[in-house]
Amino acid sequence: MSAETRLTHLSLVETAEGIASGAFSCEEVTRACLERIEAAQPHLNCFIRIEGEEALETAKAADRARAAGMTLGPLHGVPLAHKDMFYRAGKPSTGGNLIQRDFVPGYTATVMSRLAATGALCLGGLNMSEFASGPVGQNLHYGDCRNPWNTAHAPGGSSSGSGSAVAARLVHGALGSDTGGSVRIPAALCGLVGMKGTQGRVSRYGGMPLSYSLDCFGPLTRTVSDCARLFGIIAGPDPMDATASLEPVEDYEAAVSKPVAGLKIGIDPRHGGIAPSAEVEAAIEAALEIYGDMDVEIVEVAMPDQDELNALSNVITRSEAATLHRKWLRSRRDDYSPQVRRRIEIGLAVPATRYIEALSLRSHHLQRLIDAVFTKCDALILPSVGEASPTLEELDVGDSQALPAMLMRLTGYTRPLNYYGVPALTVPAGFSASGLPLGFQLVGRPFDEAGLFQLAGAFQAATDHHKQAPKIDGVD
Amino acid sequence: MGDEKPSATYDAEFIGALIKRFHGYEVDAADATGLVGMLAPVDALAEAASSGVGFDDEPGDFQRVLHAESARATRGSSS
Repeated sequence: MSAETRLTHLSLVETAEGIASGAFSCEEVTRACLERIEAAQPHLNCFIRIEGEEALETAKAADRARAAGMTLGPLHGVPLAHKDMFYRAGKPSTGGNLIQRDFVPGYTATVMSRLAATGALCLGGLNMSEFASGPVGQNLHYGDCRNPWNTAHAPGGSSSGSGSAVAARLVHGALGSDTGGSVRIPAALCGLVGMKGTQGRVSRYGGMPLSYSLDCFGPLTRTVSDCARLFGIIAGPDPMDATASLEPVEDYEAAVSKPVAGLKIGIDPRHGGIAPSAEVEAAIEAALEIYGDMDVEIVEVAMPDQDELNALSNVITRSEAATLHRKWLRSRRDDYSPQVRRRIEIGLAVPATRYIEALSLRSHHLQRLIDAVFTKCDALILPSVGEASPTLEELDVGDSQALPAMLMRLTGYTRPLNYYGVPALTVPAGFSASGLPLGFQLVGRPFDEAGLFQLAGAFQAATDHHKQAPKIDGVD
Repeated sequence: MGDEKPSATYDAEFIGALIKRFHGYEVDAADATGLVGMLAPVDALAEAASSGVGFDDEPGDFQRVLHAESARATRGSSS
């Protein structure tokens, strides 16, 4: 492994510590990442836009600041990149779509401001599903993003570039958005940690919306500690977002190393009525054995069936997305890919009463979940996706009648959790026989992200799944 | 989901007319049929789930339950 590769393969926390100690400079790390990006981009298509020169200038400035005795914060000089939908004043933000190809926002997303304030670098805009709509990672306008573990396979979406780039060791972490699983699905299919916080835990100000009621922004990283650090920085109240919760932010990084003996994990043998593959089932059983060895109590629970929850979640997402897109559907209908247009357009035919029913029932269903599950355990374990990543070709159903089944195949376990509004953390759980990553979700009660980081941290300390790196043809 | 039974609520003709009258543009027959195929099963499941809506239920109740059931609240912690 070359010196450059050693730098790109460090975790986010290790990179921050190495820069802080002077073991290497921000510029060295940034150059190593940019060289790897240049080599990997033709194979993975992770980036919509690479901001190499600007990132190098910022890295040099960060080195000068350090030499002068200044510390910018816990991400001082650490190279990140994000789904191309988080606005930065004066910088393009395509949203993965044709209509916003030349869109340059005049203001900056709160999550971007917070990361920049702690010293993080941004190496560019990452590929994503068009308008953050689609769990595969296909994009007709900017090209499909590919899974670094096998480039014939889907990285998952809609935060496809975030999953692929972090797993490929191109950047040390990335933000994505999650309306029905768009952080947790690519995290699972690429072998990463991905957090969707409680609804309202992270400000959505300055991010491209898909569904006001269900959108959540969150990090994808290689380790639990990395994820906890990024999440702790972006979480919290925001005067610019009235929907951002005022609940205090806990010390998530400290939670990662707390003991877990005596905690309880719930398992629903039916997984809410959706059967995963034998490989995913075995990975969850193996995880429960590991937790058992740590004196975590495993309790059986019966969670509500997922089908109706998926439908209610879809009613909300489609109605809100159609409201946002109605003007463009009328005037620029041909600028949408057929599949994305269909998924958004159905919202035009949902009656207002159906939409408000779905919103009004949310409190009942959340209470039902809490009564059925969280009165008996601290966290629920659930598949993230019921299988390892399928091939892009297999998932390329366009706008055919096979589309609903394909969507359910990838989002069946994740979408209901957006409806409930509860936090869920995808954790790497091993590999399939074909060498593709598997993942599971830890699901918590509202605002218990710290509890999820605690349980995930213990699991990661006992396993080495997160230490495996993909070998990318033409790069490694 | 994915059930191909005919929908009592939606058919292609209705979807086409609805989009034209309410939203001011036209979709072709193939698109209208495709939209029905996606929407009908979602609508049927949502209808089945909607029987629990009470007279005084409202969307804002969600925030109340979310915060009442927060980890902090249920631990009785003030931190």
